[in-house]
Amino acid sequence: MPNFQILSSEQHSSTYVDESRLPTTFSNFHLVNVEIKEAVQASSEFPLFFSKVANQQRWTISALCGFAPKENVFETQGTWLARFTPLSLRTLPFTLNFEKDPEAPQTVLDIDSPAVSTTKGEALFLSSGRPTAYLDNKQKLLKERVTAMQQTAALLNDIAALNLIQPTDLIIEYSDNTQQRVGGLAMLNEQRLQNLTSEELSSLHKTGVLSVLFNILGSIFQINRTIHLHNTKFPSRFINNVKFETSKQ
Amino acid sequence: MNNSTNTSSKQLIVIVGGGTAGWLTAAIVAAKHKIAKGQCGLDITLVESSDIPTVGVGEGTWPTMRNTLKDIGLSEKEVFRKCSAAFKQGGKFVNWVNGDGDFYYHPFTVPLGYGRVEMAPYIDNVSEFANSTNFQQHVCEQNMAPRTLNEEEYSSAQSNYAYHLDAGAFADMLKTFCKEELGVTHKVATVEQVATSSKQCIESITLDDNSILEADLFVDCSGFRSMLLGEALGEPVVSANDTLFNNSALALHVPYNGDFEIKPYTQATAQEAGWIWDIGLSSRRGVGHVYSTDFTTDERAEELLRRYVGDDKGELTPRVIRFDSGYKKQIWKGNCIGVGLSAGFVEPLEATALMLIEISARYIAEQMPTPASAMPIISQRFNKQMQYRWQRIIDFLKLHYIFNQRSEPYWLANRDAASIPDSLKEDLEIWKYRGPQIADFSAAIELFPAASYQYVLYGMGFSPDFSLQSHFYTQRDLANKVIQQNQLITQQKLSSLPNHRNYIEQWLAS
Ligand SMILES: Cc1cc2nc3c(=O)[nH]c(=O)nc-3n(C[C@H](O)[C@H](O)[C@H](O)COP(=O)(O)OP(=O)(O)OC[C@H]3O[C@@H](n4cnc5c(N)ncnc54)[C@H](O)[C@@H]3O)c2cc1C
Repeated sequence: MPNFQILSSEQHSSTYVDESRLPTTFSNFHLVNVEIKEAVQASSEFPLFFSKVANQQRWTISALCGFAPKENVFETQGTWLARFTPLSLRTLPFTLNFEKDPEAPQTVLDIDSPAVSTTKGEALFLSSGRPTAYLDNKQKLLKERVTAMQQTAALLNDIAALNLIQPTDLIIEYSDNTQQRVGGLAMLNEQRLQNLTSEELSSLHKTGVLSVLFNILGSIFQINRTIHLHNTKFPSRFINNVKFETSKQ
Repeated sequence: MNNSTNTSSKQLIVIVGGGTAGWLTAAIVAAKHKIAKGQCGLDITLVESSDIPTVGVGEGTWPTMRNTLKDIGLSEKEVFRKCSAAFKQGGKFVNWVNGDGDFYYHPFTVPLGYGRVEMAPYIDNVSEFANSTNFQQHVCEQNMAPRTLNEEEYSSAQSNYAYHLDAGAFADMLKTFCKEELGVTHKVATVEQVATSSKQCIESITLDDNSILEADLFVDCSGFRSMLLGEALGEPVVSANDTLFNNSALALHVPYNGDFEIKPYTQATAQEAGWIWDIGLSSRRGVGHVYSTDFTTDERAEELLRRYVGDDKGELTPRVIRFDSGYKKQIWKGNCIGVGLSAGFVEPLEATALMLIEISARYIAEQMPTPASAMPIISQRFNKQMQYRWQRIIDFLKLHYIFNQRSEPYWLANRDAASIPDSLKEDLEIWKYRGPQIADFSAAIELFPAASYQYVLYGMGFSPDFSLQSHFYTQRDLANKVIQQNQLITQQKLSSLPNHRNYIEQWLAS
């Protein structure tokens, strides 16, 4: 479990972040949030799905990086195997807390992250209490992520309104002939996409989403990569195949 | 020739004055000739009085200072440490149009597409010129540094920059470096007498320790007094007081309070009868009011200055400096050349003074040593160049004053055609229908590029009537692309460049 502390120059003047250990932090996420503006790049690495944000009705895009919680198969022995790293990971071990003031979120630091150290890595504050360039950059990334998340939420809302999102279960078939059903994900409804009216299509085109949707559609084939990496990392739970089943709601 | 103790065949340069002009000249010449190695035909002695203070202001530079410091052999980090330096990426002019909070920038980076497409005709609101064609204004408004920590010192690859420097510390640093590294001889003494031959050249100077110095070249860096060129050789000043009205300055050192930002630009805020400079160093701000006593009083000027810095309690004590605007026509006369305030002065609106010192010192470095027979030729050539430069500077400074819409008598008087030099009137006649273009500034000795005129003119809302030549302006697609590209570059800079103050602190700690 992350252990968040509100970031402050007093408390964290001798706290460091060792970026080389960040991939170890990534290994906790089997679903990694991807923003709309990252989706095209992310689709060249990960299979992209939709999922509901915890406790909320909002949709988000998730890269499937593993088949069980706390299993990210794109990380192995501290090395990150993907060439593209989404904002949600790049901002680690920091995140923003909106609870106190939605307008001015607080930066919080996961002090239990393996990347956080008292001896090694990038300093967060200068002796004057001002942020280092490292922290400055992280804060810019956090801000960038907030803007990107708002954009994602708005655009996915439009997509959902067009009934383009359909809940889908993954059925994982292991080599020992056992099966496991994973719920909570959704995919694009390809048929619906083909049948959009020209007005609907042109409105999607105008916001630049149409090409993103086709990339997300195509990204499904990256599942073979996830399977391959899974089998390398967890050979004892070798996966033969993953099937998609549209769940009947 | 030479003084009695110097028996070698080397030529001797004697510099009188140990202000920024004296030491910067000594450093530039000594570094160029590697005088410390003792193998060149040149020696430098600098004489400075311990009783006569330096002017102690002059903290904004031009980007030329980067190469100057590098050529002298100084580490940029050391300069920042010793002179509490900060980066300057341009000038911000506030309240120069209406006085209602309006502002425009004169950034140091040229507009995107410069030399490829004339952008102004395609920009609907031309006062947005700098904004639409250049990222630097945005970087300045966000108080960002011109480069990242990954870049080398002196690197201006990302963003062209100059410096803000503590004037006193700068002269001290140059002095130490000149003496310890560059082989400049230092003599602390006051010049009491100057002997000339018929006011055509300097025979010798007599110091207060009764020693007498002769030299092949005397460099007059004695400040406003101009003891050699002005007093001894009688070279008169060509006055520019009728064009540039300001004649006084009040200068303050303002400490930072609490958590503060260091502005990476010089701010010039127009006042009733002058303007206030605001220069951010890493240790403090240098703030001063330049004004005209023909239009306001010292008391009122001080009141406005205190109001500007928020010094209601009157805790800070400003220093008063009086000056005339103008320059000497023969800056190099006989064997004497004036450098710095002794050569001329105009208000520091575009921080031109140190840059002129750099140019003058470089010219000396390139020409010396020289046979006496050639000196009249090289001096004449220099005088011609410098006259042109002074006139261009005066024109360019005046340009800042003539498109205001303010109603105070000072600003009205500044718009009066009688105060505008003919050379500037001629330029404006042409720019009225096509704006300043690169070809207008092709001379090798030109100081301000067309870009500078464009930033200032358009920034003030001067909108040429492009219709007469509208058939030339067929590059709208390209122009739109440039504007889009500029937006992208701006975004990229904003997300990658670090905060200015943080950069300096972290850089100096490493
Ligand atoms: C208000 C104001 C603001 C300015 N702002 C800027 C700016 O932002 N940027 C910029 O580039 N420039 C600026 N300047 C100009 C800049 O300050 C000067 O160009 C620069 O400091 C050079 O001065 P100087 O060395 O010529 O003269 P000074 O600093 O006056 O030095 C004169 C030297 O001569 C010596 N001396 C005088 N008489 C004798 C004697 N008889 N014997 C021996 N030694 C003698 C003195 O001891 C002193 O060392 C500004 C000037 C003013 C007035």
